[in-house]
Amino acid sequence: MITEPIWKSWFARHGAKLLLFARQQARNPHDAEDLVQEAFVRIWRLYGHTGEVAPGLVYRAIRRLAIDWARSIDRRSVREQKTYELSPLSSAFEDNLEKDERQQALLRAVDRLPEQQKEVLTLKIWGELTFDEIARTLDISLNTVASRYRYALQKLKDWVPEELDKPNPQISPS
Amino acid sequence: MNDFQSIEDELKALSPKSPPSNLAEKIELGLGDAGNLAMRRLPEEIKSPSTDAKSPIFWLPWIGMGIAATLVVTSLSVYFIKSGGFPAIDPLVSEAESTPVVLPEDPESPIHGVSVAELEQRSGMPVGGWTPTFNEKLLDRIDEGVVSRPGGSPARQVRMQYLDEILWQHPATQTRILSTRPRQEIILIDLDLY
Repeated sequence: MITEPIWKSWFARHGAKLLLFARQQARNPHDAEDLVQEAFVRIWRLYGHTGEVAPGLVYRAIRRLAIDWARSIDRRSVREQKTYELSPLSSAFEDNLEKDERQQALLRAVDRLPEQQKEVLTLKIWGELTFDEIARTLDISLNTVASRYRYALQKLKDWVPEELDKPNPQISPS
Repeated sequence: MNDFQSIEDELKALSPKSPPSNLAEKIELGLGDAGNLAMRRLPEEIKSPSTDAKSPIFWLPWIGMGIAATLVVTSLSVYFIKSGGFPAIDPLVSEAESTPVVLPEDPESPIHGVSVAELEQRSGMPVGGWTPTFNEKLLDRIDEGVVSRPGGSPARQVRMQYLDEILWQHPATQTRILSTRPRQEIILIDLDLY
């Protein structure tokens, strides 16, 4: 009989989504990976023996750790030294060569969203959390979550055509 | 119908990048024993490449024990075939005295003084050529709750009960011997106050 720790399949299923959320919280890829690692290990140590862990718990741990780390002077100074590594959220998506113009415009529009709306959008669309889980993760009311989500989608709907009209930044002028 | 259904669908079609492989390795290190408390069965063909097979060194003590077990079983077979009863052990020993002792054995062992060749001849079972197959069965996992370590830090105590099986097979004679041993492990998982 071959066995495998359950956390591996759990992480294979949720790792990319957690990292995407952590990218928003940490603002730099190295800290984001550290956040995911630390949060996942803490939560799995507490609840992993049951064989299943609600993803919302790990998202919440990521957010709380990010707040703790942001308060730490050492972390902040390290982050300041690494400002060159700051990158937009769109860079955290698969770099698919077949990505069409509309998808690229959509990602550029996502980058323009206010951080709070981007956070809710990430948890809802890619994290697949319910509004209630998002409210508990971000410590905000259910109404706030719902309105931020709606505003985000409305802005994307308005901005994608604008972005499509702009010249594609990936095509360099000859 | 949701006004934003199409934009939601477009967003869902975008896939976030997968985490780098070294992140899973770092998590595995960070989890330690806590990572192995909940396991799932895997079909052979989808075994994860990161699931390492146990080192052959791990099984060395088992191989020694297996050979010893084989010798014991063989000698008992000889004993019952030859003498048919417990008191008849004396002739076996006296015969053995005439042959040089090959293996350094415990004098109280039932095969003490009996050569390998003699065992093979009398039992009709070969001593060499056995292939062991190892299997570890997880019988039970008991969460015994949060305990304090001597330093006062909290830890979760988990009792793991295993059954280690070794199946010795001899292809030439189509003989199989199954050896089992229960084993228990207590794991303490450090908990963070969070």
